Amino acid sequence: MDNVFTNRLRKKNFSLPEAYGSQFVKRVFQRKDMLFALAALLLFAGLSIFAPLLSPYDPNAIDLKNKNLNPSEEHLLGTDYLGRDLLSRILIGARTSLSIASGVVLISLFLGTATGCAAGYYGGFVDESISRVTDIFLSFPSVIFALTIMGALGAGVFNLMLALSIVHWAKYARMMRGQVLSIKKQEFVLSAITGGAGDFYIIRKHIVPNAIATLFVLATIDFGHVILSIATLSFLGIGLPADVPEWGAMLSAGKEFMRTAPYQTIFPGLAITFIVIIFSILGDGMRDILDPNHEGGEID
Amino acid sequence: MKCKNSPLIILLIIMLTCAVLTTSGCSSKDENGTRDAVSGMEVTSGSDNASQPEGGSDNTLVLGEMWDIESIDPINGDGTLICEKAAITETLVGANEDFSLKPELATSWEQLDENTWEFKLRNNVTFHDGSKMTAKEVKFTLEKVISENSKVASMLKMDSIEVVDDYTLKIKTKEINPILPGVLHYPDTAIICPSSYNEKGELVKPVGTGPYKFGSFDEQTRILTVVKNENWWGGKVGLDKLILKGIPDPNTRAMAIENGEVDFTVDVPYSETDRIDAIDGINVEKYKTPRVYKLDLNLKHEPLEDVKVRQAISYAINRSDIAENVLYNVGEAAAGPFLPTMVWANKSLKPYSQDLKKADELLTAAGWVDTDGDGIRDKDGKPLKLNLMTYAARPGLPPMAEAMAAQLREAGIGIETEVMEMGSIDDRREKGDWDLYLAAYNIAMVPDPEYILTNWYMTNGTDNGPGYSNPKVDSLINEARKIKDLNERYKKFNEVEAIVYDEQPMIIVAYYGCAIVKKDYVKGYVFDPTAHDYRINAGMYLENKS
Repeated sequence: MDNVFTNRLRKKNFSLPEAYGSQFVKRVFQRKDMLFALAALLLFAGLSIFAPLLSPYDPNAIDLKNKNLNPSEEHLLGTDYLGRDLLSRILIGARTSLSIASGVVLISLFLGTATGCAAGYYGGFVDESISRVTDIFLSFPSVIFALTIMGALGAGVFNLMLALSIVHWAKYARMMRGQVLSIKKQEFVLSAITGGAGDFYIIRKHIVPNAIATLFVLATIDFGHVILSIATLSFLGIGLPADVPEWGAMLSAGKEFMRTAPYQTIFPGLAITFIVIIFSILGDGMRDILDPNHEGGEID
Repeated sequence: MKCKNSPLIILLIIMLTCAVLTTSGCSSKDENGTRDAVSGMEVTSGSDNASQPEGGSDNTLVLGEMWDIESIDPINGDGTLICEKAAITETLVGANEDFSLKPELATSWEQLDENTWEFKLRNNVTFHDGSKMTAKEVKFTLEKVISENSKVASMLKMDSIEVVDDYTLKIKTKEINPILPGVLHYPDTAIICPSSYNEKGELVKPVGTGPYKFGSFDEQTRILTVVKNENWWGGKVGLDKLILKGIPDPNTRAMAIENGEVDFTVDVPYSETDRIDAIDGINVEKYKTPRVYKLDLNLKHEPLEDVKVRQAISYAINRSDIAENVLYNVGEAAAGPFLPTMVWANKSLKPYSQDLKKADELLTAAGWVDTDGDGIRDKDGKPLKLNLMTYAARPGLPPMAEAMAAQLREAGIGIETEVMEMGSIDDRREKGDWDLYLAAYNIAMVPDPEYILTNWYMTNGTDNGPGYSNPKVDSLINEARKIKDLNERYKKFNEVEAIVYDEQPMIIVAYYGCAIVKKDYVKGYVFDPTAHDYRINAGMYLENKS
């Protein structure tokens, strides 16, 4: 009891950036699930970066005579309906998913932070107009909205990134605005204003650093959602060109062979499941750690 | 497009979304889920007798049709369904296995002069409402077809119809039209009784002359029921009742025949044909249908303008490998646009077989060489990269496109495949923004070579997507179409086939196949190779169905 109380007191006195630093890392190491997720993520990232070196076959080379094979020594995960090596395709698919998802999250984060800051900080008409725009974007069901945009733009890596960013940025804008509204009223901001600091300086030095942590949590959880959205769109056949190996597209093409050669749906399905769970654990963990009502690694 | 979201696809999407929550039991759960969805539909449909009939006495066959049944209009909706699959109506002219014509409701026909034809009708035919079929009803049908169905009207080129006597009919055409009897084999021209319509001219139900008569059509469940016509002129009819259910998804059709929901269906996923054939009590038969998989090449684009590049593409494709491993032998490697079994086909043509050396020679001769070592040939600094578009409604197309893309890449031609909706494809073709287009085309709408060769290869032909133009071909077709003697006519058309075989403005990849899947107790089925998808014959019956 005593300990908890003092801890809480202590936390009040932290300057926020410091809390994110060493303390944050320490707390991450206290949580086994986060450690596991981080390790798995690093593994996935490594695999996807070095995918061209690691994949044993050309992911697009067909070998019709050896189609629908079960896992064997030659093909560790088997082959698909055109005799393409599944392991190679899943590795390259990881690269596709992770790179597009990173792009989408970065673009959304940047757009959301900028518009959210402007809305929250300036208030009034600026706030009204930006908030209504985000409302409009948030009111559409995301997958259907993305489908519509993809329908207009056509398939392609860049188009997919663009479409998903358009769908996702509004969430960040709304969260950023809320953060800014509460930080704006804090003493250090007021004193900075009294001290004659410029708007841009205050936003850069005081507001963004204090608000960004929450957005990172959102971004981490969102990462998993974006990967699912990519898979969903290419499952529906409108995400990426057919010759770009992608998990959702592999699932979709393999579903016809589910009863004769199930591995070509099982493995991409597992890959999607794993990566989304990893981001889910990471996002949850970060939220717990950064939540002032929680104590470190334990959920009380 | 007719393809709707099937329960399976929707289920898989839900699965994908649930991927966060669950890691196990994916495949088995899905299978059961879809089955539930299918049988659930049946329960709520509330239609009488739609479920599996009990006992061997009930001579009812349930058929899993490959498209949703959207219309029962025999003239301007789905003539193929009403005439070929439900066997309610019949055409004046029939066709033999080699696509030569044979009498059906008409016993004989004769070209009196350039623009006049005389048809003699069978005199023992009655409609389902009991009235006799005479020249008057035939005139009624054909005039209705012309006014309502512009596609058929443009093929018939009919000027006027004259009733000579009860069983003789004179048809005048606007211009010489040797394929007129062939067009009258087209299911949309099947003869119907005027009593099919009410006083306002609205369709009540199709009343024809076929072995089965219209029973009921449930607007909600889209289930069509036809019953035995006791007085069919052709003799005994095998089934008491035939129930047609539209099941547009191949996977769902496979499950429907496995769990006994249907007795007869077509085109389950090609990869599953062997597995289903091995199941006790179900057999699978593979046939060729008058349809080809063909690749259009945009001749307005620079690389494809060159006949050497086109031939090289043809040599780079491994047709037999595709037929065996992508189509699972539901289909066959193709040479020309016509099936070798067709009486008019040029039988000397053989499918191009894969020959990468020849492709390399041709491409090198055309100036396409890989100078920068990236595996893609180039010329004047421009890489040989082409896009290939296709659509997903026919299950063989997307995997075939992928396989061809990989085979062409081996020959140093970069291919980007795109699977698109029909609307976007039409749009791109209109703008000329495409290189290669893989599609499946029917080749016997009319059992005569003129129709296809004119539309595909004549300058400005209606289906001449590549923009091919060869004065020699044009003049040969124009000469041939005026020749009355069939053998002479076919000889001229064979020359055309040989020219386009060399020039390859369209690459004919494979003949389309049809997999007929039926329970062992379904007997007497005879596949009609001239049917669009499949035809239900009067001789079909059930034996000891339990």
